[in-house]
Amino acid sequence: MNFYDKFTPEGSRDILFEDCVARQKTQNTIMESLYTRGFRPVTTPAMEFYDLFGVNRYFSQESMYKLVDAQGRILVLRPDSTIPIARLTATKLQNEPYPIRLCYCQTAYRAAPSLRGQLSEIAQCGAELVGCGGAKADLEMLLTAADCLRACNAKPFTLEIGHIGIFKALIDELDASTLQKEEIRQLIEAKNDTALSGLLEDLPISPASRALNRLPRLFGGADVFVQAADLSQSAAFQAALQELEQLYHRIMQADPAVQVLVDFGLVNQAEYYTGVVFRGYLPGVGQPVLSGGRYDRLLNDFGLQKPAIGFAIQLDAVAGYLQQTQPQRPTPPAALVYWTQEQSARGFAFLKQLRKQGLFCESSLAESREEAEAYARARGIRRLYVVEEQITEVLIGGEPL
Amino acid sequence: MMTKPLRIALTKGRLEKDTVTLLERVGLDCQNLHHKGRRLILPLPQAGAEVVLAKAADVITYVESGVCDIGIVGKDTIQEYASSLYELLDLGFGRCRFALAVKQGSHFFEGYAPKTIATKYPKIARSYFEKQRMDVSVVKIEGSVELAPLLGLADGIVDIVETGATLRENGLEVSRWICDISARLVVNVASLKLRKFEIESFVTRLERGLNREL
Repeated sequence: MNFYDKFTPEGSRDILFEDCVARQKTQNTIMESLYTRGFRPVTTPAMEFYDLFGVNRYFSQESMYKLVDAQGRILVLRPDSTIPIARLTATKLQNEPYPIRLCYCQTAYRAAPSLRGQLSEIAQCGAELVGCGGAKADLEMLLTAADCLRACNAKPFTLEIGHIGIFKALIDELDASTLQKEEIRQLIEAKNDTALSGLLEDLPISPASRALNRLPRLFGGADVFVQAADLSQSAAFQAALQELEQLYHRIMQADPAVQVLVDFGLVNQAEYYTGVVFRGYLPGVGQPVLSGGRYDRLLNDFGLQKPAIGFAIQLDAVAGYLQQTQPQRPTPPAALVYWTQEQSARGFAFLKQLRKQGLFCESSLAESREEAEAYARARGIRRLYVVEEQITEVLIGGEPL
Repeated sequence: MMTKPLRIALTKGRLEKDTVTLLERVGLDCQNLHHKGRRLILPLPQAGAEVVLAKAADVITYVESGVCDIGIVGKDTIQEYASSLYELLDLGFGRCRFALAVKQGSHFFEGYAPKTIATKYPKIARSYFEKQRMDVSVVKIEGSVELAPLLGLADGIVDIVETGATLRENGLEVSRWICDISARLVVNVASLKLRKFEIESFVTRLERGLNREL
């Protein structure tokens, strides 16, 4: 018989000491910078009804962990935080003054493909701005995202922006079946030019099909806007293009230090997003560390007619990057304080005094002074105080720190 | 960080040879690839790159995780294993086709009894039959898939077919063609954005080499 009592499930892990400190610091820094911008923290349950995620079909059945409650109803571990926050907003915050700024730091659970080294527990810090459409809100969230990454010293980071309206304007004009349209979307998402051209050639040639064909290669810097200007004359396309270009320039004006890229082929989760979409990258990290966008229809699912925009930062990816580029060193306590049973009162008083000075110190629970010394040596603690009638300070030799 | 060489994961075996031919055609010195020795990471200095030789499915793992920027791998492996990467170029070589093959003269699509399919590619097989709205039971076989119908384990196989000779010799025939396969150049999603210039110039160079061949 197999017992799994000494292992963690695939996709989950223990986080120890320096890594844990780094992660906590990153989390605190991100949350602090969100608080100072007026985002108010919320936490939603780890368990939600399956209906919350199953009905709107934004998550596949296979990607969700399911449980059954005492009444036989299906629950899931939340695969995402934005949908629960939309539920919370639409039900509990209806009478709040708008816009509402919310932030969170919690774990999303998604069953990762087996044996690929991916995490199923995805810790995210995120922000949502509800009740505000338009350019001002978009800019606010992009700058907030940049500030969060900058605050944790995660540099050099790159932001990337796109607009789902560009793709939607073109695909709506295209004379094709729903299935073909989805296939086209997938090929644009994968930047698969060859297959995309092949598929579009089988359809009647139109300005829209020619424009769609070019979307995968339209990414990079400001020159992309020049290349895209004559892509389509449709009003919806031009409106989305203008929105994106204005946003691009406004970010550069407001925060010239930020490196911003544009990608017209950002078409993932096209049925969820409704406007600007964006991502953040760090060098050497293979997947986006930040992703977000405008989702003006989600709250309608819960009966609230409000636009919204938000983003989430992958906490472990950012903390892992920081640990790699600016490692946190292990920090043993500065001192160990040892006393015998009868000196307890003195010992505790001395310890308190040391801590008051801001020293990080441990009390020794050893049975003898020798044992205390051995422990200090093994832990790399450089100083031992022995509390008797007098207090003696002992320097512990060993490897230099 | 940006001065790190581009890391290319290359599928060992036939695709490796075709790729080296292509790299040499575009003027890159591939000495290191010819004389590998025991090295696992082979510098390709003229392209500012280094090559990692890997098994097909590992190419996907390396590229998706971002430890390699570029991968050269068959479309079959992409369909079976990939979830998020960019597929920038069809390299044209390593051509073959996926097919459903059955015993000669058998009528796979007739009758109501649920069918069993043997394959090395369970994901591709399952998605093909989902499109046909057919419930089948898929059995994963690691070695010669052709054996399964002969031994009576399966009603048909989903596999790569090049010439069809192996099928014929074993009394099997193609029932349906599923899709075409060839080698593809794939790129990590973050690398393409952060190292756009380097990757695009490498891809353009290969693209020119491919066109010259035609």
